[in-house]
Amino acid sequence: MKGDRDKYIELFREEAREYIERLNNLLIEMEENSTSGEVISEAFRIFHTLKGMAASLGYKEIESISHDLEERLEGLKKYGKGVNKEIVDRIYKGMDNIEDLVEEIGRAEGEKGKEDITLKRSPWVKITLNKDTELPAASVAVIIKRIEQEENIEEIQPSFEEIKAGKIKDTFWVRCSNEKKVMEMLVSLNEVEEVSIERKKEESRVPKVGLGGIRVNVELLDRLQNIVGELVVFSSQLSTLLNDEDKKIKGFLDVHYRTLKELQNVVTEIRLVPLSLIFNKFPRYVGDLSAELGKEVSIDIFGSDIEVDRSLLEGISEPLIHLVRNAVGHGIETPGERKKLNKPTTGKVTVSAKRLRGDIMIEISDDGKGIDEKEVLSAALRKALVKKEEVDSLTRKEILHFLFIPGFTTDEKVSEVSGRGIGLDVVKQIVRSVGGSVDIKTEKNKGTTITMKMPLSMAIIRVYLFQSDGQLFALPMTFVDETLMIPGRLFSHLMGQEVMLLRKEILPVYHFKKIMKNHTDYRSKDTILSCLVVEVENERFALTVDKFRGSCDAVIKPLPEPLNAIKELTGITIIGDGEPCLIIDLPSFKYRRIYENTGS
Amino acid sequence: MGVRVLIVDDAIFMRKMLGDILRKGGYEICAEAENGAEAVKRYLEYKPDLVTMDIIMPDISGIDTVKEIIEKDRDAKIVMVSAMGHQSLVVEAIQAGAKDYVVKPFQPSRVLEAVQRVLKL
Repeated sequence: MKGDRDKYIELFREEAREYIERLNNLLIEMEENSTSGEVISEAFRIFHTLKGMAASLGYKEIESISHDLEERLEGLKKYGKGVNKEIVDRIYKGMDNIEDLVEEIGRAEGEKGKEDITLKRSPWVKITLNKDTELPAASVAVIIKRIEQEENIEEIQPSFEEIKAGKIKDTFWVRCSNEKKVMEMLVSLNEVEEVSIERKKEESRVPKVGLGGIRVNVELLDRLQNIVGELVVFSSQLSTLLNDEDKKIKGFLDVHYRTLKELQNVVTEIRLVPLSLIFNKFPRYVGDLSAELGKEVSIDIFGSDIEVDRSLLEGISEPLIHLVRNAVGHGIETPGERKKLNKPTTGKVTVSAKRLRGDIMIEISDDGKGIDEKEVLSAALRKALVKKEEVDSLTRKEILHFLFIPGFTTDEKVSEVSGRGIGLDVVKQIVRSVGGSVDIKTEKNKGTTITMKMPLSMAIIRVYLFQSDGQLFALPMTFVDETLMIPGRLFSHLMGQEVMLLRKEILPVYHFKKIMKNHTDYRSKDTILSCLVVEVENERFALTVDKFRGSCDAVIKPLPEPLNAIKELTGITIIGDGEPCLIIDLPSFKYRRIYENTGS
Repeated sequence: MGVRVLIVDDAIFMRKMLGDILRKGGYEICAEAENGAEAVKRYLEYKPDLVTMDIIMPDISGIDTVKEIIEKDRDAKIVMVSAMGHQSLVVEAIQAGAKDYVVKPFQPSRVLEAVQRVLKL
């Protein structure tokens, strides 16, 4: 039965992958609760099954690794012993080997070609119906009945359901036993024009039906999403071109837009993958790293079932791993140090994900040594990032922001004293490139929390448009809380900072124009100012602009040179009647604001 | 004894037309029925060699009638009579046990051919 081998191999690979994933989780449990008999039993069963599966396909190496681990686990079971680090490490290693071997099988089998395999099955009999056939589907049904009276039918192409639904022209294919006899019978039927045998070509005609899905090239999905994104934007542009009289067309455009949005949702959904793809790797990662560093670290993970856009996950997986590594490597102290500080010897790293409207927030926190802002500040002074006389005006948050400045944390000394590893700037850059923001909270000896907030999907985002000096700008909706029209006289000054009062909340006020170095005097007490209330990195402030232009969907395009050097801009998009519009990167903008206001 | 046919159709016009074609072909029309219930009754009564069954009839559909007859006589030879638009119903009837089909408006040659073929089974 060589023909079935192919199917078995595919099944074996899929199942083996599932088992490996399950083992991963079991091992985490084992490390936490080393004596759980149930966990050991399940791991034992999995290796036993893997062994059997591998043996029946002749994969000797997988068989022997599984066998070895199965025996070890059986020993533990028999003598009621708990697992120790040695056995866990051994299982990890074995699992890695098996994983590699399984992937290798995929590559090897893929190269082999399938010619010889298909020949062993019954050939396809191609049946062409008489052109005069009145109801082709009914005729096919009659013919199939006839064949079934004499022989077994293995397969029909197109499927009977498709035929019934009228998806047949004049040709169909049947795979059946004793095809010669069947063909003789078929030739005698009036509705049959021609009967022939087809041996090859079948792979292209018979679609491979996967278990519950199909594989799609990610690149195609990217393209699909781009096209749909463009269509959505184009559709909303179209409606802005219409006059109010064109009610009928407007109605159609509305429907058109809604349908496109639906399509977009489907496309977006297709691209979703669970965070668990990355999160599940953390426990092991933390285990390995802490063992290597002689630390005791446990990890808690929340929200791994949240689904995000595939490319987003690809983009942030490296920063995530980086941050987890930082937490273990630089955040958590050694057991000895922790004891001295009256902390539990086992440190804790928490990774949690939450959904907030169209955004996702991922937090990585540790209960380690935290970052001392004084040390950050002195490093910043050393690097001339800040002038001595400005030091007093800097808030704690602003000081910590230096950690994100490119090159800052790559300094050996700084990374040592700050308790952060290298590359916070890199993390920030990546998160920014997907339209998100990074924030850091830390307290000496209490720990550090890094929060990443980004839109769930990268290709298209909702933006708020505004005008300043005739130029159109956009702000990702992630940051916009509300819009206000307020008279200039309601602004006042508090400790040298312009502020406004909004529902008992004092908000700092900044003027977009001023930040853009366009010192126009707008200040008349009676001027009504358009004011955006925004929140970035847990700080709310008001930003005055010339004119609101409403919200819309935008496909973000990267900035062309030399504009891409401006770090306050995320990208560019085309709005309405084709007007280009710059998208503001609010987090960077916020820090530029500090320097503007301090006059440097 | 000639071949005896039961014609099932709710329209007298159709029964007459089909009857004429079959009689010209040398078949004997042993009975007619204008609905499903009557068809089953007549079938048991006359044990015809062949049945022509209209697919769309009031009360019990042709398909259900086929099922009922097949239940009582697994070897019943039934030819479905259908208009062009009802392809999927015909497929269903064939799955239910009908042996062949003819399409309205009738082409006498096609009707006789289908009947002959089914009788050979």
